[in-house]
Amino acid sequence: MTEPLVKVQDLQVHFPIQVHFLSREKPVVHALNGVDVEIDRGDAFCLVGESGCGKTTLGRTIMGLVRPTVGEISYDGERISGLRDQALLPYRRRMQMIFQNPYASLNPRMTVQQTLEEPLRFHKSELSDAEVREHTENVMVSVGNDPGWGSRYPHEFSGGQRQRISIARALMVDPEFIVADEPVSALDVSIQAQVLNLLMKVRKERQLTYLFITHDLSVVQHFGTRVAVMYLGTVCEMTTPKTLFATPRHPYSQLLLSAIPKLGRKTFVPVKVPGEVPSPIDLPSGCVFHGRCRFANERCKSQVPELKNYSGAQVACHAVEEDRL
Amino acid sequence: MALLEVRDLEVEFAMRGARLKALRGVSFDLDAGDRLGIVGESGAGKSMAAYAILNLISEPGRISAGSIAFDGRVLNTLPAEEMRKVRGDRIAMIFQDPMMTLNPVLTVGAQMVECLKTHRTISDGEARALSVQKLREVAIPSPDARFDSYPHELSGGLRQRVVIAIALLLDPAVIIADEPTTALDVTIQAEIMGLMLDLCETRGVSLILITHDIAVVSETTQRMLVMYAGRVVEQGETRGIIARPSHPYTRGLLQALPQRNKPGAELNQIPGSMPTLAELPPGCAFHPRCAYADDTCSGGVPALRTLGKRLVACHHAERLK
Amino acid sequence: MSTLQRVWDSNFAYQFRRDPVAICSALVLLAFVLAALLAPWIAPQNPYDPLQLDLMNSKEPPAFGGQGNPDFPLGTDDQGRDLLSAILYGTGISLLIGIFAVMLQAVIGVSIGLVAGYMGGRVDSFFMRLADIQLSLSTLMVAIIALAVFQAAFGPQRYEDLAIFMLIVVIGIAEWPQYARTVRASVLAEREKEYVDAARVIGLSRARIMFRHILPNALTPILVISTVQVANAIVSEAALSFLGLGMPVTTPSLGSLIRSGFEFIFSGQWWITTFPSVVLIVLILAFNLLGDWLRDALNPKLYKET
Ligand SMILES: Nc1ncnc2c1ncn2[C@@H]1O[C@H](COP(=O)(O)OP(=O)(O)OP(=O)(O)O)[C@@H](O)[C@H]1O
Ligand SMILES: Nc1ncnc2c1ncn2[C@@H]1O[C@H](COP(=O)(O)OP(=O)(O)OP(=O)(O)O)[C@@H](O)[C@H]1O
Ligand code: SF4
Ligand SMILES: [Mg+2]
Ligand SMILES: [Mg+2]
Repeated sequence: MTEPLVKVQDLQVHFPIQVHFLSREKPVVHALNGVDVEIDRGDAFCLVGESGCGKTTLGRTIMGLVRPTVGEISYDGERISGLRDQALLPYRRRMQMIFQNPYASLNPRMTVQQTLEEPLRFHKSELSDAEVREHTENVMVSVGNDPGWGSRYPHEFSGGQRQRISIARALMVDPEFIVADEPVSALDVSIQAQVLNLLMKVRKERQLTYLFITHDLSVVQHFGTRVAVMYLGTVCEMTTPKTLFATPRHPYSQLLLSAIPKLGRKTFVPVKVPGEVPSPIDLPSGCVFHGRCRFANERCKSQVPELKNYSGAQVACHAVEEDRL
Repeated sequence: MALLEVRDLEVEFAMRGARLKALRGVSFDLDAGDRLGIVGESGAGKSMAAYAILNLISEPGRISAGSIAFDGRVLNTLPAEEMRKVRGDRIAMIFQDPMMTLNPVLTVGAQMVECLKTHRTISDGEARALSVQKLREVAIPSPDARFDSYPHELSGGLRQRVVIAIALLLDPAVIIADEPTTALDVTIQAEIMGLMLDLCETRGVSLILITHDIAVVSETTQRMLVMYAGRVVEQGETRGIIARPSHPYTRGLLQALPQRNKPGAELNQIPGSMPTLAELPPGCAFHPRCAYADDTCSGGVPALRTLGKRLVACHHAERLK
Repeated sequence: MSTLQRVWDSNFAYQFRRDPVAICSALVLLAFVLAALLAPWIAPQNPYDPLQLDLMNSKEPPAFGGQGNPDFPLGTDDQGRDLLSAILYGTGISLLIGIFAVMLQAVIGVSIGLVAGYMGGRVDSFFMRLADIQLSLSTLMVAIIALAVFQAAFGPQRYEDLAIFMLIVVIGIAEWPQYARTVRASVLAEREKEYVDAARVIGLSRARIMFRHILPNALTPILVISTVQVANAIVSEAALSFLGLGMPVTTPSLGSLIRSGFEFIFSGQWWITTFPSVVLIVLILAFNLLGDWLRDALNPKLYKET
């Protein structure tokens, strides 16, 4: 088997939280608790899970925006976690990121042209003005933007148009890997389709690898080649979207799938989740999901389940291992 | 006569001398126990419709035409004092952001008791008992303890439940929920929607559910309104509209959903984006994005007309059959 | 042309046009600035030139009272200086000190606020404690001590030549924390926005992110406090001059004019103090009104770009 493009090993990220400065406690948010993920070249790797489960943190840590507390990240076989800014530069042009909020991800004081040119001039300073302009124009056209937009400011554009500009910015340096953090969540349904189509199109044209963060399972089903379901900073199931939708194994995956509203379903199927939402500050012992899981037993309360292979899926659940489902 | 009758409602904003119509001719009836969905993209005027019903439109906006009748009384001409009695008491509203309803510096209980005491003559002890009971009804664990919690001590899902409990406090006849679950996770959304439906069914409360998620409306309502640029473009039975939309916009919306497309294939997209109120195109506001559009569409605004069991505002609705 | 048209059509310009207070204060300020700039040409006399002064003309009352000399429309001071000319030149000096002192404050404060806000942690704590200390000593107190020391060190003659620079430096340094705090607050807000992450993903250096990306977005509050700060600096200068630590009587600012006339106020020569005072008050008022309006007009909550 070939080397994965991105390899995340036992990644833990803790954020200190502000308490009274005299207090001796040093509480932390356990945003990620030992995540192992491998993203192969050409994958559209989707990350799903509820709000606050650490999806964004994983994406940002891979991009080097957050320092891992424990664990390491390799890119194309080379370790990139813990590198200094300068040493990261060669990787910066190979990996790019698209953000969730189209209203905050473009600098409001820079014209579209300035925004797009900046990464190119920074990474390829040898290019002449004419070459930069030509490249910008090509990228704008390839994402379906009017090249005449260059002199305008972001506030003159709608959410979908801005998201296309963000995608263009990410493509300026011809990256091979893109982290897309909920790129369509802030957009209306009619615009979501436009942006998703664009992301699929550029992926095909440029052989891109995606880490696609979303909370919309229908997008995963449509878009992903692999999917990881996260809960409270851990990966509970990793498989292909097809397998996930056909046979969700982890109890949380099952819950998630039963909860998505279905178009044209005649009756509402109520979902009852026992227990309280656990907090990432006082992490539950054992399996992080045990407090809300119908299948939890004593072992689940004390021992952390590991991701194990079951024909076509990796699942971290004692009940699956013991075949109790 | 229906419980709530909205007729030709129009809302207008005075902006820099110009008048922008944020709502143009919304009409519907709501009977006791009915569930009505309002869908449409951001800026379509969904919230505006809800605010107008409750007479909550503030300057520079105003209701410029139409009428709202509740239980036989015309609401939009009621004096402010009378309106306040209806609002909250007979018609309750649930907002997308629970913090719009909850006051961060008061405990949940204090707010519930205050609400009860404004509308009813009731002793402190009774108010407390009633509030705790309502918290229990919306499935909040240990309601006695939660009664004394501050809103920030609760998770998003619990907060939204508290808001629902407050809305139910006075046993309203109608609940208007403006994107009550948009900020929540799907699992919590499913719980909350289940809860609201249950309450509607057991007590015969009517529900107006505003959302941009067609799938939610499809599962939970009997009738729906589709809005585009301040107008109703399609209105009728939810199941029928989802199965066979008669308006090109509704159809485009449904076809753009990943669920309605083959995995991996290009999604059917609606080109362009919704115009702003200040730049509405002439004729049908949807015509620049519409695959069926021709000169008739840019020439005249299509009236909302009856087609089978449904109302549609499209010159070419027959062609979609 | 189209840029002009865009500016004219912008929300900002629209709000300005609709607000008579804003228009008035802007016009008043414009008039003051023009008058100060054109003083050498429009003033009847050069008040700094001792040769043009004649002690014989001292303490002439204003001409409009009927008893004064028509050559001196607002009367003269005890040195025989034409008060109108002195006010025109003095306004210039006051504005000059105000504007340059604020520029100095802004340079120091903005740099510190930017670095403290963006770097956070220890750097932030250090600068913010420093700002607290600076703020706990009032501007006037710092200025009085510093200027008294300078005066003693340089001797009165040399001090008179350097006074204007000294005032700029002292007022400039004493008030940087206002800027540092404002800038830090907006940097803290901007830093969390995704466009900053986008710049980091590109690999840009910290300095570039701070100055090229964050600073332009933190400029609005800087603009707002600047107007008020200019007014404050002018008041500080006037107060210092009034205490005899500011501009010398030979090159008077508004403050020194007020001071020079103050001793005669009870002997009937009210105009020497009154006219400069009125000018000072109108100037400060105009700055503050404009600042208030700017704050409202640029308030992101009230101002929604459509
Ligand atoms: N800079 C930070 N400081 C402190 N806590 C943080 C920080 N960033 C994230 N967190 C916390 O870490 C946890 C994971 O957050 P993250 O943003 O990764 O979640 P997410 O899965 O992306 O959620 P969402 O779907 O809401 O975007 C959350 O509990 C969040 O509050
Ligand atoms: N105070 C206001 N002044 C001018 N126009 C307004 C004002 N408030 C709302 N509008 C306009 O009214 C229209 C309808 O807004 P409304 O909030 O009802 O949309 P919505 O369908 O609820 O959208 P969303 O899904 O974003 O909540 C929008 O185009 C909006 O720009
Ligand atoms: S009226 Fe014309 S433009 Fe409007 S939706 Fe119907 S076909 Fe399309
Ligand atoms: Mg996130
Ligand atoms: Mg709304």
